[in-house]
Amino acid sequence: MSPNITLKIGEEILADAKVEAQKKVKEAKKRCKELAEKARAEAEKEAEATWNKAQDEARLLEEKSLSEARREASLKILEEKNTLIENAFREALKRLKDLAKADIYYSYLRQMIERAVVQLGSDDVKIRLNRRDLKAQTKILEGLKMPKNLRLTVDKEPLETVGGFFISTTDNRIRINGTFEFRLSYAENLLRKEASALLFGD
Amino acid sequence: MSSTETIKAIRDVEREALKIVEDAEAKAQQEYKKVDVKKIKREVAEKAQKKREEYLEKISEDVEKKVNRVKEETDGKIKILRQKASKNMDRAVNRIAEEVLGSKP
Repeated sequence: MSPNITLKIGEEILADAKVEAQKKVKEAKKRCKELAEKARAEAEKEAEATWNKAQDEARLLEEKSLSEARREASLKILEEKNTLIENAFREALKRLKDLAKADIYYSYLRQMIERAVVQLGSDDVKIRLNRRDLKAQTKILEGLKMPKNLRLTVDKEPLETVGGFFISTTDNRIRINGTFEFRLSYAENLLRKEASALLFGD
Repeated sequence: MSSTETIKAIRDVEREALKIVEDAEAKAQQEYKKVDVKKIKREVAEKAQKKREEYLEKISEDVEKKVNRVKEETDGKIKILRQKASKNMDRAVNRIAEEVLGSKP
């Protein structure tokens, strides 16, 4: 074989080897790039899921916290309103206590007794008064407008009350609690809404 | 060139060619080693985690501000309620006393 041919064959072999080598490296680089991109894509998909979860968590946190804050706020306002309404009833009791020391009180007391006697519908009734009113019973009773046939007995045992009375038929079958405390407690149930409107209205 | 010399020359070239291919193979393997899938995933995950933490921290601050606003509004409403109650207390007390006495005091 001539040296030229041998040389040519050698050059071809080397050229082929170089081409194959380049191809291997190129393929390796391409494959590596694909692997990296695939890994990145998978990781980013997971990251997106994490992000979506974080957004859900954030939304829940906001909803829960705000809902709790609003609930607490409503409760606080309600408690404050209740306290202020209770203050009004406490203040009313104070006013009634003061009133019970004034002369005008007997006028109210007489009117209240007269109405209660009508409600009892009996000719024979017994009334209980507090210690102070017992002392003033003559003054109270002489101004009373009562049915002529009514027999009214005043119990000597003093009633524990700021003002008002407790009246019943003599046989105790029908009783009316006309003490300020009882009537106030009844009024508290009855007037709570109205008192609230009065207090918090413009 | 004798046939022995020719064969030797070609074998030398073949060895050289094989070396070229083997080197390329080694280089390719090195390229593969460079790709650290776990590292890529870890880096992306760490970045996402950091973003998540920053976001949640910001949201927590925002929510705290909103909650504080609700509290401030509530305090404001309570202040108004107290002012109104103070202004109207007499009216309410009169009405209650009226109910207890059965007529206006």
